[in-house]
Amino acid sequence: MQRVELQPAFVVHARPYRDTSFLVDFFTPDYGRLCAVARGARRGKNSQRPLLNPFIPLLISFQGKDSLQLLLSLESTGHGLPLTGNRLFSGLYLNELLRRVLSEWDSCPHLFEYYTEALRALAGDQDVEVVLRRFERQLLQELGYAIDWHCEAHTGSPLMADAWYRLEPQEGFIESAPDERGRYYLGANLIAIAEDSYELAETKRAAKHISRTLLQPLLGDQPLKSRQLFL
Amino acid sequence: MFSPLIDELMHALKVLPGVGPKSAQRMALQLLEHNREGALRLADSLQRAVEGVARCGRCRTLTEQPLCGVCASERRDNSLLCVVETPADVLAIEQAGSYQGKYFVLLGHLSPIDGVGPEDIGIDQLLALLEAEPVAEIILATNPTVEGEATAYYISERAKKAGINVTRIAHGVPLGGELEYIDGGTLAHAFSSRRSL
Ligand SMILES: [Zn+2]
Repeated sequence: MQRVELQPAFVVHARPYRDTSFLVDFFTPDYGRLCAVARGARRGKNSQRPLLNPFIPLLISFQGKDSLQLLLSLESTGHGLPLTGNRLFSGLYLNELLRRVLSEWDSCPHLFEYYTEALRALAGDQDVEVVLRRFERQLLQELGYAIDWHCEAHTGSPLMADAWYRLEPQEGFIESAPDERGRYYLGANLIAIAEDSYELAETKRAAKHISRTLLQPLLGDQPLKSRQLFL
Repeated sequence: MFSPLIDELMHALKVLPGVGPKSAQRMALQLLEHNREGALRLADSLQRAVEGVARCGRCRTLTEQPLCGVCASERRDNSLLCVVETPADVLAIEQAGSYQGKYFVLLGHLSPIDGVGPEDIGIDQLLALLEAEPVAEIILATNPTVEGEATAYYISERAKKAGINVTRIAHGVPLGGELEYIDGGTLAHAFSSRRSL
């Protein structure tokens, strides 16, 4: 039985559990994703209830053994990040992504920082697509699925702006002459993505396609539901 | 400890919300010892309700009629449509007694992680209803949770495309509430949905 005090956390998801409780999925830096019961939180005037929503920076204390923890206390360390409209859908997309690809009890302090930054950026006025693409890249990197964004996979020579490349998820970008069948990326777009500079619409399109290709093996057959929300 | 029929009854009673083993035992013994007539009425009423009650064909709330009372009423204002998450929400608004329009019940909210998307909360049926009826204003009364807000926004975008005026009920400081006892989330919400006087 271990007891953890005042761990930074965000709610990834909360669902009703038994008559008066919530089963809450938290994302924390030191313990990764973990599941805890917020006992009695669904009772009428429970003070925990408003805090058991995503996008609010929290400090939580919990204890338990193995997979199921009991939430002992939680407090917010600041105001919830106000997400509305497509920015809210984007936040839900990030959470669905975490839930699907992150295993429980896998400490990931960097990813927690990236996630916090992404939420702040969504709450601000940064381009939604840029925020999502950056986070997806950071997520893949933290999970050990990073690809080399600077060099050609076979030759090791730097990517060239005017050359065409195809993506092999296990290897990286391979220079090849485009044909009708596959998807090819212009080097200039890959270089731009690596620098986080998304001025051109075609750079955004390329980045989105590359993200989907790289996430595919982690997600399996079931598509992400939150993608349906974007209008 | 008890005979099979009593055990079975206690087990069955545990489907009720808030009823654990202790309460189930108390209820079963109370019914069998002191109120057999009431127990028979309960059994009969449960049976008939479960067999008879289904969803209203128009608003999806619970009813044993093809259309619920509100949908069938001629006195209700057809131009107002209040969208709520559950039949309990309809009841709460009806008990407050000042709303004269009609309803649409989503029977849930958008929750991607639970696999609940637009098609699972009757959006198609809602859009069809907007086309078939002279609705002038949609009042979104989903809960002030993250999922409730996402649901409200999704519906508002779809309804605006259909040329319908969309409003959201205000959430914030409860009547009789004192500011210092209100949590930060509620207060932030109250500020962001403030209105001019
Ligand atoms: Zn009805």
